[in-house]
Amino acid sequence: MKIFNKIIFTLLMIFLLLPLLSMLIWTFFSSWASNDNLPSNLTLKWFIYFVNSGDWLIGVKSVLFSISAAFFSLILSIMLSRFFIKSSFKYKQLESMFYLPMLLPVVSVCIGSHKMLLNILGIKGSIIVLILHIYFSLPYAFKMVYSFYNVWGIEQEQVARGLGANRWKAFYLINVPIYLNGYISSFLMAFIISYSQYFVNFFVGDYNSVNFSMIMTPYITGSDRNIASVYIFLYMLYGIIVMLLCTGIEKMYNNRKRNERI
Amino acid sequence: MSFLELKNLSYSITNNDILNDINLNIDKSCFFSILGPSGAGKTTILRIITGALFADKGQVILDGEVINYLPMEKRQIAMVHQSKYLFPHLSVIENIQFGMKMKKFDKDKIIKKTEEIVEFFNMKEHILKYPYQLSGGQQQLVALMRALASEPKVLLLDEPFTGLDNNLKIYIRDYILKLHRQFKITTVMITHDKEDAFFMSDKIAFLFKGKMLLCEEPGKLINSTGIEEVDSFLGQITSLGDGSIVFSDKILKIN
Repeated sequence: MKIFNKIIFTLLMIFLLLPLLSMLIWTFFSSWASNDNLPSNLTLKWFIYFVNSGDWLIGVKSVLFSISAAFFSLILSIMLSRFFIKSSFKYKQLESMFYLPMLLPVVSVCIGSHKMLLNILGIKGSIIVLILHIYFSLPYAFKMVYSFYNVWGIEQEQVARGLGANRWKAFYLINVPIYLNGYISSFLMAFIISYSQYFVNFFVGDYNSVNFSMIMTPYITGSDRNIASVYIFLYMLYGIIVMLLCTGIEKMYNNRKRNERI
Repeated sequence: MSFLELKNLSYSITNNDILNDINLNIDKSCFFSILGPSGAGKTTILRIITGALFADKGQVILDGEVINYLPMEKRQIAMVHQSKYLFPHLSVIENIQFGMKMKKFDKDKIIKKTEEIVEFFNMKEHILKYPYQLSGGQQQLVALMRALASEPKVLLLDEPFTGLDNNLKIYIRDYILKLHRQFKITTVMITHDKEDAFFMSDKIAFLFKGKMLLCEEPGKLINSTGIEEVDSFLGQITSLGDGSIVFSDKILKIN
């Protein structure tokens, strides 16, 4: 059984990493002739281009924008989950409504909200983009947070309040440590959904809403594999940095708590 | 005057009456049990008293003050749940001290009170452990210690012996009675176990399908009450005259 598990694990790793291999090769090498065993001409010129063109800044802005969208999605998910966990059956039936954005075509939502929010309500394009990012990432964030609430409930918080903690202290001292893993996972999920949005920014946003996916796409469709690989690599790198930061924050929080106890 | 009073309390969910016009008077330092079958609405009563739920109608009066809309943290009512709900990320000692810290007791008092309670429950060797490292019975004791440490005006016990084997149940039951005698805290316990209710309580109320059918001292429930639901739930009870009563085939020594 152990060997079988190892084989499955190895196959999955290959399945996961193989598509990245060619991207990684073309990120750092500019040629690989058919009669060569290994790629040649190690180059960093597209990295230099990325820095000099100022696209790195768009990448940073894109990350910050997605972090804020994920943060709002997380807050809304927590509020929604708490509402559903406390509410009676008739409200619980409405839960599936919040998963609708997973199914709706992005284009129809964009057209509808573009018309309503921009033309009728006069909201600025970049704000609409943020609203739509939250709209599309909320169901994923909510699903994750709500499943945690379904397992743990809010009784521990209520016990804390019975012992004299006010709402905020019960939330901060009891809820957050218990749910931290769920919150971080939910935040990351919302971040990934927002970070990979292309159409919303392209269709609704103004020049302030240009994000990493948008600047990356022309290179990928333009069939220059070197520059496309570099942009994909950096796109992944930015995302991975955010994930590592989140994991770091989680570890730091847990270590701090442990040290406080010691 | 009663210390804790429930006045015309009603609660419903989507037109289903969970509680219907409940009236109860509980005296100070009394050990009061609400007895009834599962689904009678017992836990709902406790949740309304703690403030986790709001009654549709009626009043909860504690020490002469209507507390219906008082936030949970200001009610001074601690509850021990059947599922314990210990804080998993806090050690036993942190669990115990949580309420005292929230109520801003001074440091010396927190230390003194912790020592007193830990000694009372004989849990000194476990104070640095985490809830997952304790047995079910020990967890229940910690939940009791935590509730007690915050010096509540009323202690609520929600089926405190659920999931415990008989020896452990007797062990914890004795502790609860001991602490009730020592600290004189007004205690309300809900249970579906008539033996526990008879053994521990000064007064027993019987709840059936959201209605309070009677509220009496245990001694007065030995003979037929004339209420069909109560009589069929309690079954045959015989007094042996020496403070012992017999439930079907089980003898229970009340004193």
